[in-house]
Amino acid sequence: MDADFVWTFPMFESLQLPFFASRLHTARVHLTAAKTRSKGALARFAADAGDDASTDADDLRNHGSGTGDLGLEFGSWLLGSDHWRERKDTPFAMLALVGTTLPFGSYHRDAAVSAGNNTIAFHAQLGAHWRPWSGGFVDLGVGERIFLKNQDPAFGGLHPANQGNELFWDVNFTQRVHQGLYVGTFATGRKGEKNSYERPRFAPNPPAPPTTVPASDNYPTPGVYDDNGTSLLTAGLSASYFLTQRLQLGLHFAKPLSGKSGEFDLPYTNRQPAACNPGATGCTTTAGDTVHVDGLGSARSYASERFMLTLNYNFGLGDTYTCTGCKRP
Amino acid sequence: MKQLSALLLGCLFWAGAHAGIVFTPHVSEYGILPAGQYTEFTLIGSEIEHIYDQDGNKVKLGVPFVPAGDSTDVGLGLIKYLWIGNLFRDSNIPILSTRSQFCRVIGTMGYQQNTGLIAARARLFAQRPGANGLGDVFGLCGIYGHEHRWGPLKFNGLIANTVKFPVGSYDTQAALNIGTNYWSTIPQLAFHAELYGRLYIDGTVAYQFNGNNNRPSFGGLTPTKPADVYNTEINLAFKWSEHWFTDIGFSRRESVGGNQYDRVTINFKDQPLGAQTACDNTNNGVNNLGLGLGPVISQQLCDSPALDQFYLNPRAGPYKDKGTQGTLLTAGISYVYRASTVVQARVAKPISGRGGQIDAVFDVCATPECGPDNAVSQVVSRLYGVQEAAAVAASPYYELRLVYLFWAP
Repeated sequence: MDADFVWTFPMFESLQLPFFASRLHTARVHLTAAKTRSKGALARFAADAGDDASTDADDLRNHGSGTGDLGLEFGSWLLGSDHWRERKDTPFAMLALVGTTLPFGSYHRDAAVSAGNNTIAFHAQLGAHWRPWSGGFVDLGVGERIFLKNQDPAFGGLHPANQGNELFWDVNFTQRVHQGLYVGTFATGRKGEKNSYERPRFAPNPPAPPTTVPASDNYPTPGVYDDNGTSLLTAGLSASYFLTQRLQLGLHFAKPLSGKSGEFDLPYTNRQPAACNPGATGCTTTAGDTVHVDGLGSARSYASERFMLTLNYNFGLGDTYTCTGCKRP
Repeated sequence: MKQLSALLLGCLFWAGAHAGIVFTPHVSEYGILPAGQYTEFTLIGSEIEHIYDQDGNKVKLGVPFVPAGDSTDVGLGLIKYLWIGNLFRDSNIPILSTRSQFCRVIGTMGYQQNTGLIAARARLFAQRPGANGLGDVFGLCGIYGHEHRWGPLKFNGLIANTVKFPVGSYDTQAALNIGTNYWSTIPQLAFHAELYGRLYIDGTVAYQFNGNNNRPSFGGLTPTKPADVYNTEINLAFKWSEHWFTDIGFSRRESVGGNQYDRVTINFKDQPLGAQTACDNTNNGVNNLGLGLGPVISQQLCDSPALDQFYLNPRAGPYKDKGTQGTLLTAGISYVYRASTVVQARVAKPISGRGGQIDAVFDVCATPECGPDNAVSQVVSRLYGVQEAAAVAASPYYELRLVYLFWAP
């Protein structure tokens, strides 16, 4: 569940600051809450109490529900807001946004999927809005997001520690078909650079320890591993209706067209005797088998269709305060 | 082989002193504002690389058990809703009918994460090295005093009481937590003064009564009986123009007596510890943490081929630390936009402090089910108390604050 709060306001009008004083700006707060649960083989692995006790694999859970991360954005209209006080018609507008995502969301370090990501992210985005004819709207957006290090990758380090930079875009066309009824189509895309994983502590599909050497076991070879990046392309349809002048109800359907999740090869090290401390006297290690592992969390691109129900409400406060120092027309 | 001596656990973790941060005053914090509803958003961030020990020394996080350089990263978000009005204006109730009342609700959310080797060390004890989510909720109500004028001086007082509801995210197996898991009640006296309309002074004294925490986290290194705390804070602001203010502040928190810990269970997850493993996890060659405690396990015992594995088990307590203290200086700049918006940036720098530490006793055994009955020796390990009630950060924090009137008075 998402909740977005959007404010639009002038700034520094009385100071006549270049750029800022002559246009509108926007601030946005993004809140989320999510219920997550893994099923199938991953859930069975998480529930398996027989995992090697020397790893963290016996403390796992298959759900990580809760509140999501906090998103904050600030933006300025580059075009289209110069004459907002005169309420002049503006069929074309461009908006520049910068924002951050703060990892205040619930993040379960033992779960395959969580509502939060435990990673600070920053993004910049450029958007354009065009009304080519009455009742027709075209919106375009493109942006880049960068991520700081996740200091505690979940599920034994199978979440990326360093998420690759992400390029994202969206395009939307909407047409009013009858009074308050609008229909539209949209497409979104995301392409992430390679993610890296630091010292994974286990894998759901570990290789069997060598049977030729008695009393031995194996463990993931410590190291940093990269996947080949992620991507996702979706397309969808939408319909919305103004229930009242301020309240708009929308239904959206999105279908993934293509995508790629992060995967990497994880080599194991055999040791004998089992659970001995590598490097200690009497503890011998040899190279073991390699397994192919799925990255989790932000490394996954979901291929499922989804429906979204949206409700927009315009509080419509407007400019409730007198403009001190600025000249009204 | 190094000696298996007072050892082992030496975890240095911190968590934000939420109540202290929440109550640090700002410009006109206690001034009589027009009746109405105010909303405030505050973001606080810090990279904590130093904390205070029980003797007031500033120590690097993690040292000597892990090399210096890692930290506890902290982000805290506050949303405050403030109502000011007079419910009793048309009544004849003494005091209340002529003075405005106010109520405030503060919601918190946060991120706290140990980094690098400090995080890895937490996992040795089956503890999660960070926490995220919603925090405790604070609710307070109070009443303003009348405003008085004396020449160029204008001033007022207020009295209030805050209750901290421990509803925040709390994990008993975490080194850090967003919630505290204990109630607090904080009566408060405060004042606001303005001199020549330029110098703004806000100050408060408050006493924080803390309830018990029956489910301590991080193996019992959060106090089960947190000590009460008193706060004294003052903030001086200068008004440069209708829009711009700068301010400096002083804040001091000190516990009344020590915190008590009576459920210490912190221990290595994987046991027995091989001799080499155990010695690798000693204090990296700093004998007994420099406490002057003699080695309880002799070198011969540690090297004995017959005793190549050890079991450890802590004694639950009770233990008591020496109490905590934290003193901060703050400096900030504010921009007031019309009558509806205030934007403020502030830095807070600790100038002195004292964190909670206890000397916990561990039984060392050569057989499982380790306890006093089968222990070959006992060792004493000086452990840091963690989280809000016990740890005091020695690193600065940064604050960005936005006050906004959604609804015009």
